Amino acid sequence: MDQPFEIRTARLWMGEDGIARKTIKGGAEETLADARQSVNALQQLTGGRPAPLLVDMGGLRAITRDARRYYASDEAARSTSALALVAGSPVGRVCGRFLLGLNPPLYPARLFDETGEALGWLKEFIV
Amino acid sequence: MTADARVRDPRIEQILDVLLQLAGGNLQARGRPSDRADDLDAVMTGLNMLAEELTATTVERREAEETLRRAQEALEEKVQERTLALTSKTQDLERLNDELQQFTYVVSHDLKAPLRAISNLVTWLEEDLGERLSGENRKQLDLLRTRVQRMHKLVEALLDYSRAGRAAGRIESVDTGTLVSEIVHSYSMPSRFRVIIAPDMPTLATNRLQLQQVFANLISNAIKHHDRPDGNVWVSARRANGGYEFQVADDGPGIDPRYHQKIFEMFQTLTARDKTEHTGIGLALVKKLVQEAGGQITVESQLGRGTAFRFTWPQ
Repeated sequence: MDQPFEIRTARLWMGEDGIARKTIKGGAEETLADARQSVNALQQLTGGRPAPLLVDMGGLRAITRDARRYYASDEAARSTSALALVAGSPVGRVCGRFLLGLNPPLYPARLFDETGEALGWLKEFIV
Repeated sequence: MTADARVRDPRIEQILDVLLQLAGGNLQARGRPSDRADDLDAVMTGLNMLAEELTATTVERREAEETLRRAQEALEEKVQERTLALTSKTQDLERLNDELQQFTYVVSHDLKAPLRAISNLVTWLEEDLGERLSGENRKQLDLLRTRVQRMHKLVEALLDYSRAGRAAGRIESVDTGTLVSEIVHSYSMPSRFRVIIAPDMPTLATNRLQLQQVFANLISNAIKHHDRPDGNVWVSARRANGGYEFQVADDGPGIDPRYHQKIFEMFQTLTARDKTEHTGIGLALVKKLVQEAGGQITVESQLGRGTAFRFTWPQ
């Protein structure tokens, strides 16, 4: 496993299976600055090549509109080939729905209840 | 269920309060979820996010409306500027046109006096020299008189052209059948030449002089340019667009379609002036008169198949 990245709202690392992981810290409220940091960290982890990403949303308490729009941008798409969101909590589920519903990313993305199920789906996108 | 469990969660009050504020127009209203991240917090978070979307789209809509309003104002300003520029240009053109017409009128008018003088001089020379004039000299004087007469006609035609549409003609009831008949009788034409006037020619309220000039020019052209002494000219009319469409058609030599536009231009003639006496202004004058009256003129013709001029004349 590569050296993990710690940002204000999350921890990111690259798994040995070629799937990048992001775990949101408890009580985090993600803003545009946090989203930029997250994408930047992911780009460093993947070496600039798009990789599948698993996000554990359990700790997320809110995400701003600007942050959601940024995740749907071209810039964010450069480091992500597919996105699996694991709800983790009712709040995580609501935030996930907003992310995928109002600001759908440019790459394949789905919301899951189980991490195992999410990883199974992401494996299809490992190059 | 215990009494404590029935105590309402304060977050419900908060959610209701945020909803009421949003409904009242306070789009900045937000709730504060707890750390439990349970269903109620999910509702609160969702409500906050919806409020944020609503605020953002409202702001975006207002900005778009403002941009649209500014663009509309700029466009209206531009249209106003262009309209002013166009109005000014139109006024300039009208003034130039008036000046040109005035110039044409003055020049034509002033040319008549020296022409009359030359004509008189020729007559006096003939009278004074009498029998001493050789046959060649007499021929040259005749030629000079013919040229002067031609120039006089040209000047008259130019005067007519510059006057066309300017004279404040009286509107009167005009029986076009009688009008055409009078024009025809004023011409001396070959005995076998016929001008056939349709029996249903209309009576209309218009400027008699202008309509008379149009018919006179078209009929005289048809006679003058005909290649046979037993030619026919037909004059007819029909209702068209609230006015009338008149037709002056002949069975003469016809006009090559290549020249259909050219014939309406000033000084354009299709035959040598020595062959047929004309100024090259007649059809330009006709077109101007028709347009001044609010009508249009067209020609239909093929070489060897006669010619039909049609013009519309508003009622």
